[in-house]
Amino acid sequence: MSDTKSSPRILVFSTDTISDPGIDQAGQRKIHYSPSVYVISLPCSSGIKPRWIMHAFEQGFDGVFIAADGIECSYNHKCAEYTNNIIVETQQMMKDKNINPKRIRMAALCSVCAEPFVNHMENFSRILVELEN
Amino acid sequence: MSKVNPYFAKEMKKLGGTEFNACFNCGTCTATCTLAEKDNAFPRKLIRYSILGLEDDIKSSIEPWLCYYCGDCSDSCPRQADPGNIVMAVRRFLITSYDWTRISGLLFRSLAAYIVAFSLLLLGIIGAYTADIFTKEEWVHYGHYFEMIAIGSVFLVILLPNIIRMWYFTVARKKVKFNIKVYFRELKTLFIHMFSQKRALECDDSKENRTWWLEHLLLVIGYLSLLFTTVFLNWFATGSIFIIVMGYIFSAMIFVVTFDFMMKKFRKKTQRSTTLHYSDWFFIIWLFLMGVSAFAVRLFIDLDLLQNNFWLYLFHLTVLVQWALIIVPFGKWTHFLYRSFAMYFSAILEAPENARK
Amino acid sequence: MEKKKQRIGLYICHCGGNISDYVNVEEIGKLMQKEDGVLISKDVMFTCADSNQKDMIQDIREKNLDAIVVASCSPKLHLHTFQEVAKRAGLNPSNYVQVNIREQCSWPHSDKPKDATMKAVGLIQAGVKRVAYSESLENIEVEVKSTVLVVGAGISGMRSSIELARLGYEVYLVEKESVVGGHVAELEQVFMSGQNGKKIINDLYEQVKSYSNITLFTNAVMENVSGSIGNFSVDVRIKPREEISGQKEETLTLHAGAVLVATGFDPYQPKEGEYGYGTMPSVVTLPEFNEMIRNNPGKLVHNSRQIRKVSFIYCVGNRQNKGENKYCSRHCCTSTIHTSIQIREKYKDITSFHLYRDIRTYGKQEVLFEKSSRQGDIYIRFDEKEPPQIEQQGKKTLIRVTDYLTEKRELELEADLVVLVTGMEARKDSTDISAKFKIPIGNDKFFNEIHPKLKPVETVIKGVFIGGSCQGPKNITESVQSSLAATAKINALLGSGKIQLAPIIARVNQDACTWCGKCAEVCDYDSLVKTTAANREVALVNRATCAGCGICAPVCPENAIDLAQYTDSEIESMIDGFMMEIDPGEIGKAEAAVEKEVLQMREYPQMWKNILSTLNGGKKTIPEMAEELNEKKELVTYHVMTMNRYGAVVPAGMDEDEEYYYYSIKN
Ligand SMILES: Cc1cc2nc3c(=O)[nH]c(=O)nc-3n(C[C@H](O)[C@H](O)[C@H](O)COP(=O)(O)OP(=O)(O)OC[C@H]3O[C@@H](n4cnc5c(N)ncnc54)[C@H](O)[C@@H]3O)c2cc1C
Ligand code: SF4
Ligand code: SF4
Ligand code: SF4
Ligand code: SF4
Repeated sequence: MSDTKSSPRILVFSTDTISDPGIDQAGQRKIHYSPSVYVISLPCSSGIKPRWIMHAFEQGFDGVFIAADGIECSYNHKCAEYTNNIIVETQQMMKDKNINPKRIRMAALCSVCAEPFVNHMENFSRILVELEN
Repeated sequence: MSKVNPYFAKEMKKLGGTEFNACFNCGTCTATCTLAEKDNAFPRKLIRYSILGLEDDIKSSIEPWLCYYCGDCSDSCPRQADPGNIVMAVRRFLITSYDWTRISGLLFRSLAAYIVAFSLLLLGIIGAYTADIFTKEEWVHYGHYFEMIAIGSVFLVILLPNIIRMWYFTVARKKVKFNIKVYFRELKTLFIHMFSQKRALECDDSKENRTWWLEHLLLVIGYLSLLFTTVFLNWFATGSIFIIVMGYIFSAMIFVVTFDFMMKKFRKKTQRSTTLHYSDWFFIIWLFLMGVSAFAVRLFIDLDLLQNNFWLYLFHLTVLVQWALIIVPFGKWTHFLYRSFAMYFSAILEAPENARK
Repeated sequence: MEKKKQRIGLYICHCGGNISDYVNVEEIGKLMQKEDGVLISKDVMFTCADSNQKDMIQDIREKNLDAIVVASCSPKLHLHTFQEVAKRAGLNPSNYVQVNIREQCSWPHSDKPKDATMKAVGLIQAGVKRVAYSESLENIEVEVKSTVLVVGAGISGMRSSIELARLGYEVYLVEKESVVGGHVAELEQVFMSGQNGKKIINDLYEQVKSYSNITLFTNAVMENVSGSIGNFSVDVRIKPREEISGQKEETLTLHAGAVLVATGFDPYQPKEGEYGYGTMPSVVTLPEFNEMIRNNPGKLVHNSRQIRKVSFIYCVGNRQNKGENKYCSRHCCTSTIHTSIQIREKYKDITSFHLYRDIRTYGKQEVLFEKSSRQGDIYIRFDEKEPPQIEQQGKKTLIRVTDYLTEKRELELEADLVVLVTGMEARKDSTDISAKFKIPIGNDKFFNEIHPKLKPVETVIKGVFIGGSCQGPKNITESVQSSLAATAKINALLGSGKIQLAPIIARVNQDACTWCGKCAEVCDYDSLVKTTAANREVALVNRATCAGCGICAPVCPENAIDLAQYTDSEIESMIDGFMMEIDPGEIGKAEAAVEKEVLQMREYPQMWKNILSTLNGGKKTIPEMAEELNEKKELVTYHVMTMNRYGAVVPAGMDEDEEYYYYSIKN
């Protein structure tokens, strides 16, 4: 069995200028993480629609990770707050569908956060595996 | 609470400390200095005291006496603040502050005063000679007496009180309690250092430093022996061939070594000789003149030429009087004494806790 | 919505071996040929190579492709390259999607090639699906006025105005005071050049006056700001001058294509009682001291006392651990030391104490620090935790300070004058200016650029630039550097009279919108406004000001907002693509056939052919081949290594010096 099947499937939302370069850097430095991690990059983490996240769960993703800009966001100084609102709203929707709210996670990552990203993926995978059992 | 005196730095400039204001406290000098210890940032600390004008702290420091000006600090100072040079200046300051008569203060701060004092003594001797008070024999005889009396009184009236003052500043004021026995036990340090100048060797291991130490040692031994030979064995009047030869050797030792020192200083070859105060020049030149003139006087006696060339003896006597009445009590000569006592005092201060009881 | 794309061209990159060493790109290429809507699916050695770009253009034209996908490196490297390829072939660049199978697939998963291949399939499928929903978008073109509004006539604003005028722009220079020059005009002698500040300003003022295309407004207050890049309108209220009676207040509306904000700084004003300021007559600030020097030519006298000992206390109101002013003002160490040298030259008998925390005379200014200590200035270092205490005893001013340079000794010193080295603060009205132009400000209230290194004078508001010390503490040189950088940026922006804005903006589906106003609330750029369409109140996006962040989209309760290129169908189809099942068996089986396949590779790159022809049955080392082909050794090495991997060439022992391998054609 390959890892893509055995390890939890994680959808990551990253941001074009800040967290996605950090994830790229993990690759450039050949720091390994699970190949069942998929990334979609957006201009700003506050632009993620809850329905996309729900769609990901419906399609079989085990977890959704938001690699937010935090205070570094150049668009909006309230970015962290808005992204958080989106998560809260989504978790409400998840509850209605009986999805554990722990399946969604957020952390601030910067453009050189290669190791932190990989660590987040490991931790999140572990949490998701525990949720299965 | 220590009071800052911004004008003190000017004082230090007069005493020969020239560049220390440039110091920006990097601590490199302390890192290179073998005298520095964990809680003693020497010599940087001394520069701080000088800049801030913390006179009392300077007065109570012993370390300047332990420094032989190896020059490592000055070589490595990134600001060319010449930290070694300020240590020398501080030493001059210490000599002036130990001296209860304050005469050294005057002499060290003013070249004019130095010259006036020297000239007065010269004129006195010329005056006495022209007044024809003594016969030639009497001159030589009283010259010898003068030496004995001068040594005794200078020591008792000036040097001894000054050493006590030094002890008071550096040891007594620190308010550490010692058993009196420590003073006796450490007496050996005093004598070992006085005669061996051993400390200089600890500074660094270079060939240059060893040569310097050896010369310094020869000078001290030569000087003390000549003193003994002339004063107690009455070299100029003795008939003992043994003493005569000894005298020749000792006086030669003095002028050869001092000549070499002068040449080095003149050529400014080493760090030690780059920045000199006039008092250093007087010291070294007069020591040289003493050696040479004593040698020549005895030679003239042996060749029976002195009677016809009595000026030579008068010259020697003038040098001697100036030496004994100015340089010894108030000039650089004292550094020899204070340095040895500094070794002694610091050994006492460093005596282990239990040894003090 | 546009028609789903049906004629997609897919190019999968080997990147030499960077990708293909771990991801079976050829097999994926074959697999994807069967995918819906994919017309061409190719694996290519180097997609970004010129030759391939030409091939792509040819494909697009000949096969009439309606979208393309390149699966290669990170879009940060080559998105633009391939968008340009699309453009050159006559395809809308928005119909291009780049899939990152290197940084986010082959490299991080180089430990698991098989899984990497599987993931790449998912990523590529997602890209193909996304491109199928892509829309052709046109850049937003905006006409721009060749007029620039410069706010603040300090040295920064004046220098910029002069340069802009020289470049032919119409410049409005707006100054709130009655005189120009800002703080530089207050300096008797500026470091390092020693020039007189007032003179510098007078010279600049003469130049400003000599340009007919600069209009200077003094006593002018900014009121309402509206409009956007290319056409801002700013209301400026001109207060009457006191000295000219009968002058009436008037408000003008200025129109400008771009704005340069150069409002400078305010000196930090110590609080009442801070280090005795305001309560002890002998405590003044550095700017006040500078004024004193200006007014006392022969002897330095304060409160009819001659000043002989001056004590400077550094970092007042700066580098605060607890307060908001965490920053260092950069110029004040140098200014103070420069002043100290200046007074010693001017008044001779004067001593300076410098009670400092760190000395920051960076760069060429360091020589001043050395000069000052050599001249006998006394430096005492304190810690913020133990600030100096000042006490007035009769006529004497005593300072107590713990000196970190002298065994943390408590020192007491007497001074005739205590000078507080006050740094810079943001202008009191910076919040107001920020609100008017929507320029982000930091906690310290200075204006924020987009990126301190990459976009140091641009703000997130298109068309609004910042220059000089309103960005943060700067000395004159640095202020002018930044304002001139902004000038160059403005010239680049307005030069052609038109600007192109990226089409990634929000779009409102007005049929669904019920105008709840939620989107307008979150938009920091006031880009969503109420309008009426078909007799209903709905939201409208200002295409010129929308920054394209997409923050408005999730908050809309009716899901009426989409961000271009990030529509629901695009994102959701990507998610579908990731999860599409494929049969791993196919790829596994294919693995065995690789070697044979490679030998018959559809098309070897030209370089491979050249290498094979130089070998021509014999054996050669890489340097030999490089010389013969007249190519760079590195390049030949690269290709030979890949050829070796694919079994096109094989090593054939080492050369005599045991330095290089020989290679020969594999038979
Ligand atoms: C005591 C002191 C000494 C210094 N010495 C030196 C030195 O020797 N060498 C050196 O290089 N630097 C020195 N500096 C720094 C120097 O003053 C600054 O770098 C320089 O003034 C910055 O210029 P500026 O144009 O950016 O800002 P400012 O000089 O502050 O000018 C800004 C202008 O904008 C105007 N303005 C502000 N708000 C508005 C508004 N809302 N509407 C319209 N107009 C407005 C102001 O009235 C002012 O005219 C010193 C600073 C201080 C405080
Ligand atoms: S090395 Fe020089 S600058 Fe550094 S502390 Fe010593 S004297 Fe000062
Ligand atoms: S740089 Fe990118 S496009 Fe170029 S060859 Fe490498 S992966 Fe392909
Ligand atoms: S430049 Fe010097 S005085 Fe000014 S804030 Fe920085 S460290 Fe303090
Ligand atoms: S996308 Fe951002 S800038 Fe555009 S309207 Fe929405 S919130 Fe405003």
